[in-house]
Order: sequence, then structure tokens, then C-alpha cells
Amino acid sequence: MNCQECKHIIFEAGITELGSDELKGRLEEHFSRCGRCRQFYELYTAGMEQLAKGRRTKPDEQLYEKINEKLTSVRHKSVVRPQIIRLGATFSGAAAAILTGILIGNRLISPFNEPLTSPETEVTTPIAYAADELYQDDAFLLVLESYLSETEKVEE
Amino acid sequence: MTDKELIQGLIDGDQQAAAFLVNEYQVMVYNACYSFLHNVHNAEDVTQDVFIEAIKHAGRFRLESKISTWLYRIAINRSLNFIRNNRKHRVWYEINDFFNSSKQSLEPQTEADPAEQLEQKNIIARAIDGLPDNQKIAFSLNKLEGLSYAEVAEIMDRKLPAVESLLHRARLNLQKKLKAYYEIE
Repeated sequence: MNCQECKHIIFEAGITELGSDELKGRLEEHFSRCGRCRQFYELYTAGMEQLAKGRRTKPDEQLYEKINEKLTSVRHKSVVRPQIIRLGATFSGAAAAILTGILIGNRLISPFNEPLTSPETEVTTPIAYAADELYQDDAFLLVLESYLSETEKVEE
Repeated sequence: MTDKELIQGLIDGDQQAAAFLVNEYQVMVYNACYSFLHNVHNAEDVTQDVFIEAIKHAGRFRLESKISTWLYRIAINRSLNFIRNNRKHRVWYEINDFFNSSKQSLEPQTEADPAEQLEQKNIIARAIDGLPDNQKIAFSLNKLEGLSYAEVAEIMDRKLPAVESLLHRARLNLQKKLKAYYEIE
């Protein structure tokens, strides 16, 4: 047997034949003369055995339950959540992210900008404080609004 | 339960038929997926998807072949799609290949440590993964699954000589890819 024939036998063998005594016996005579072919045979066999390592011989008893759960959730999702809702969630998420970005950006930039309230409008006296509080009171605003509208009617 | 009864049960939504299908064929389907994916978790996920597809679309199966052949076909398609869609997997192998090829040319035959031994074992997996899809399917089914040429031909829906040719080309390609490991003294 030469190296070419040896390689052919190695590549021809399936995973179950590779480690068998029968195949080793066939190749042993050549291996005694050729270290390279022995080394390659060992590498190839180890590689194929590595590939077979995760293979199973026993069934997974939980598998049907897992599949059934998946099947039920797939059916549920297709009924309850139409595509448009998922798209809506994506877009509203993106919009929320943009708005948050703008708000945070404003917060970061604002210390370098002009103050929002000018010194003239700042409340300094007790009367002004009282007036300010009145303006913030909803009931007062309602009374003021109705008074003004009545005055308008009378003037007309 | 005959194949016909089983399929009819699946079409009728019979839970017992579905459980029978899963229990009877899960080892075969899982091992077929694992042959392509080389990863336990991915093989488990794809196995579940294979059965979901089989249960949902049982009506499409026309009983022209064995159920095992039909399931093999779904498993192969699902596994190859998983590899195509999972770009990380691909990129990872490509990066590995790049570094290994440079490493290999620098230090081909030194005394290997455990990590290197594991790496050497993975060389075969990468070489098989690098084969064109049809050659990879034929090689995996014949050499890893232990199916005969006739069974491979039926699953791949090809004539016997076509499968022989695919396997011959797969062997030649593997020899080319692994040349560095048997030609360096």
C-alpha cells in the first residue's frame, strides 16, 4: 500500500469504521513505514470523533413538551399580536429615544445658554409672590376668565 | 402506527400522533442537525423547529417517500438556513481560519498542548464546513450519519451516480483543504 491508497481508505471510511480494529489492521502495515500517514490518520480520526461527540443515542423526554410550548406560543402570538402592533412598538420606542435624547441634550446645553427667566420678571416682593400664587391657582383663573368674558358681554 | 396514520393524525391535530413523531424521530433529526451545526444548543433549537414545521405542514407531505426522508430534508434545509442566517457563526469561522492558516504556516508540527489539540480536532469540522452545500450534505449523511449512497440519493432527490460524484468531489476538496496536515514532515 502506498500513501495515496492509504489516504483514499481514510477518506472513504465513515465515522464508525475509522476507529475500528479492522481498519487499523488494514493500515498498520503502511503506518509502520510511514509516520506522516499515521499522524494524519490520528488527526482525521480525532476530528471525526470530535464531530460525533455531541451526537445522541437516547431521546430527550422533555422535547415534545418544549415543542408543544413553542407551537402554542407561535399560535398565540400570531392571533394576539398582529404585525402592525409590533411595528408601532418599534416606532414609538425610537421616537421616545429621540425625545429623551433631545431633553438630555437641552439639559446639558442649557447651563451655557441665557437663563430662562429674565431678572425683570423675577419675583422679589411679598405682593408679587401672592400674585404669582394666585395665577397658579386653577380656581382663581376660572373666576378671572368668567369675569372677563362677562365684562366683554356687558361692553358689547 | 403506519406512516399514513401518523400523517393523518398530524393533519387532524392529534397530540398523540405529534408526540409519537417527536419521540420516534428526534434522535435522527437531532444528529442530522448536529452534523451540520457542530453545536449542541443550536442543534436542539433547530431540531425543535424541524418538528414544528413537520407538525404544522404535515398536509404537504404526500407519502411518496418515508417520513424519515422527509424529516431529513427539513433538517438539512433548516440547518443550512441557520448557518446562512447566523452571520456571527460564519464570521467566527472565517476569523479562525485566517489565524489558523497563518499559525499553521509558521508552526505546523509541534508538540500540541490541550487547547492546540482541540484546535487540531476542529480542523476537520472546518474543512467539512468549507465544502459546497451539496458536497457537505452528501458527505455528512454518508460519513457521519452512516447512510448508504441510495439513502443519500433519495434524501437529496438525486440519481445514484450524482451522489457518487458529489462524494468523490467532497473527498478531493477535503484532501486539498487538509493537504498541509499530511504533506509536512
